[in-house]
Amino acid sequence: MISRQHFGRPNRMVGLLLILNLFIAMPAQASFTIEDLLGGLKRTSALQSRYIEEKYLSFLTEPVVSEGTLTFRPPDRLERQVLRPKKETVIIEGNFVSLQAVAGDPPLKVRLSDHPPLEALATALRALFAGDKVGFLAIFTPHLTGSKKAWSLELRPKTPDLAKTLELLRLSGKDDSLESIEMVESNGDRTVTVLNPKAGT
Amino acid sequence: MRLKTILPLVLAYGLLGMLALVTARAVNMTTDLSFVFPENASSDTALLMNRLQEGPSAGVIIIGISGAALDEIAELSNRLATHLIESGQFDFVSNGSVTSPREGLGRLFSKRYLLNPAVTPSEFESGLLADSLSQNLLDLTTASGSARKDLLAADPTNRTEKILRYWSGARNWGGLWLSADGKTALLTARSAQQAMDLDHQAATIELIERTFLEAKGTSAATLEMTGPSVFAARTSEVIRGDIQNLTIASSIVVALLILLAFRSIKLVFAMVLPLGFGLCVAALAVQLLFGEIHGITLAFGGTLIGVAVDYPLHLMSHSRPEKGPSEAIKLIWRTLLLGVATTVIAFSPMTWSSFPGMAQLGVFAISGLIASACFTRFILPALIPGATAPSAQSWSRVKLPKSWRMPLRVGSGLLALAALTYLWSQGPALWENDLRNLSPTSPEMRALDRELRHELGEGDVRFLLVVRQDDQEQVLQRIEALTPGLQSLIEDGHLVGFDAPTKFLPSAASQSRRQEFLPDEGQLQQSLETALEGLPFVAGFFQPFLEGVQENKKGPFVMSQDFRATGLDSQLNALLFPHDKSWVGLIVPISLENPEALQDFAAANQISYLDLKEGSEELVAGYRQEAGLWLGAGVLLAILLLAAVLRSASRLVRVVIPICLSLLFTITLLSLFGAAFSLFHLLSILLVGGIGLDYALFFNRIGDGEDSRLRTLRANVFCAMTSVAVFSILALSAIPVLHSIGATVSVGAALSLLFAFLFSPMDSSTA
Repeated sequence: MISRQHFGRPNRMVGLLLILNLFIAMPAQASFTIEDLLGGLKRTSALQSRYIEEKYLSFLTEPVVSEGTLTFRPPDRLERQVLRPKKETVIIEGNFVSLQAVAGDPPLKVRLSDHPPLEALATALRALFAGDKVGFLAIFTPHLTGSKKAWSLELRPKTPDLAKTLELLRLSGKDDSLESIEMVESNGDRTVTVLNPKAGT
Repeated sequence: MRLKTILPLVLAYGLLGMLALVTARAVNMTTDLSFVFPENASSDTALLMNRLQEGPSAGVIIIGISGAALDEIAELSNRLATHLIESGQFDFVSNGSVTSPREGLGRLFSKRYLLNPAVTPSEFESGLLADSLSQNLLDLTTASGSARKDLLAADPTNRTEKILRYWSGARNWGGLWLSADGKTALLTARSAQQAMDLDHQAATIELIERTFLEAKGTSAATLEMTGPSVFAARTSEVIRGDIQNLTIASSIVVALLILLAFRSIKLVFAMVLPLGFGLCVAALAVQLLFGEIHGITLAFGGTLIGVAVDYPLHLMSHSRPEKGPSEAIKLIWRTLLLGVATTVIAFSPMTWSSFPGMAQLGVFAISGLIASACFTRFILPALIPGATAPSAQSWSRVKLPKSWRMPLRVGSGLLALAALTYLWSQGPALWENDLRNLSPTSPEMRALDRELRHELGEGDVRFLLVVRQDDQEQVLQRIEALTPGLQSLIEDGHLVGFDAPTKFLPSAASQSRRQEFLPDEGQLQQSLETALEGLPFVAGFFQPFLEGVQENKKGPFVMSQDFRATGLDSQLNALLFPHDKSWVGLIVPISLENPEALQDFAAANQISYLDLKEGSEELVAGYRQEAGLWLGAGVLLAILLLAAVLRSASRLVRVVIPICLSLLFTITLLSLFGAAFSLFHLLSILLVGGIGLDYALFFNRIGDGEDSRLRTLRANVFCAMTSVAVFSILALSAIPVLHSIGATVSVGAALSLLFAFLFSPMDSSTA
């Protein structure tokens, strides 16, 4: 009731709006920022996780599904082992990707920088786990939504070159853990990787 | 007054300079292996060695980058490849991950159902089709499979990949090429220019070096290059550099010796004129007769006629104060002429050699010597009128006590017998048979070449099967007919695989058979629909596949010209080429374990089997045999000429014996020091013979008294000193050929002087 009386006064109303504004804005900033996200993720540093990947391709009526393990070892080693339906090991280390379809075969070495979308993904993951905000701010425009309990970080390429092949990366998770990685390529092909972290590593 | 005396000389230098410029412009120098190949190369070995060294693959340059961290060399490798592609100077560049646009490859792959490995009819039946479709679906889950997804609609049976694998063997496509130890990044680049065009090669190599330097910045990485064109360019660079250094060093030594002998700078300048004139005339003569001059001819020929420095030495030594050069030349001309004529006669059979290099050398030596002698006779005296040499009286102290002569002569005879016995016991071990040791390439360059080639998975080609037919199609059909037999040799473990032109280009006959069993549109549509049942591909996605197969069924065959701009044409052209109105196809075994099995196979199928190493050794031996033949003929002719002119058995013996002894001891000494005799030793020995002949002839000249004898002695000693000095310098050369010549001639010249002196009449009265 009292507040209603105050409501009638324009100058007070402006003040209140300002306070209200601050009040609304402040919790969002205070509760969850990119820095918070990075700080939390960094603490987990090493990561090993099972994953299930769904790939939505323009020429398929349903996604192709695969599963395996994804491992990150600081500072920059990423390893993806596809276990089903077809074995393959991909290791990204430094600026090199090595592909090995059959164990024992000499791996095929490719430069990461020759495959922009993969490089973008690797940069994002490395930056994320290393808590390196500068790292991905250099190539992405980030947009964080949600709360600490359920966050989603959308990364859009800054450079037109990268934008030619990559539409966006969407990383989402809960608290200090990454739960899914979504990659949308410029041709519309979309890959969703869902992680189920195991305890400890 | 002063100016007047040197004016003719200045004028002569001006004219010679102009002649040298004209020569340098007119002469077209080559440095390939053609020097040692017979002209009418009927032998398959010669043909193939030539082909392998100079064929279309000759423009390929293999580049290695090492000496820095992997990431750095990889980055450099990519940058270098990119820049080289952008330069537009190359047909093909690749480092595995960056490859020059091969617009031809797309065109070629549009005919993928006609190419090897052969398609089978069952590939298009619904069963197998369904298998490969589901396989591709599975592959989409992997990174390597996803990379291929753009090809899927047109090529669901993965023909492109199968063909690439078939062509490239174990080598990775799409990955950066690294050496096995991972420390060297490898690139190949094929120059767009003619492989054997030296100037372009040099420019190409410089371009690569410059591009690398620009790309590397402050990195510690280093660049290595190999390939036939690099060999050629580097070698000519080395030859040029060596010739330049050796020429400068020898010129200084010769100038000092002349200065020592005659104490006149003017004479120093005058006395090299005959040689300079001789060199220009010789190079022009070879260019005129052969249309080109081989680098080795130039390097070696230059040393052969270096003996022309002796002519003005003799002339000046006999130029007495009261008479001058124009009188002196009359005194010695007969002897000089006899020496030149005998040498020319000895060289003349060489000009008929079936090896163009030899023939060039013969022409070079003959024309150079004649020109130098004529210059000494007709022009030089007019350039230095009144130039005289001091008395040679002090040389009277150089003598051999009469009582020593006989024992020394007999002693050297006995030593000669011992030397002959030693040489006899050495037998074939005396000879150098490895063709590569005749090439001016350094062993380091060859080692690097072997190493980089090995890393790129290209072995040394040694054994070959040669299929020769009337036309290209017949060659291809014949090789296809031989293929099952070769396959069973592979299964029996005699070899790991083989390269043949059919690997790339199937015969028209087999392409036509493939077209016949390619399904027509209706059939394929139907089996595709059956195969697609239950698979999640969107309708109509495989339309490009249906169309592609129909185009292949009805379209033109794959022809050799379809390989243009694919980066593969050089390989195909190296294995399949026209020769002598017929066509030749090569089958190159990979990792041959059992050459005999392949030899038996060749015999059973009536095709020729070649061992290039053995063949090239035979070639070299043949070359040497021919060289021996014309050397023998030359020596015989020379002796006949001497006999006819000297008309005295005792004088002939006095001239010939010291030459024979010095040659014999030169050979023995070199052999004792471990030299294996090559053709170039043989030629050097001929040169030693020519030098020795001059000494002996001059020592035996009928002079006009003691003063003349001493002047001759002085001239001979200075001639020998210059020869020994110049050829000792040559022996320092890094080029094996020049080194052998230098060693042989410096030893030979010293021995020639000693023996010519020992067997000469020791006072003017006995002459």
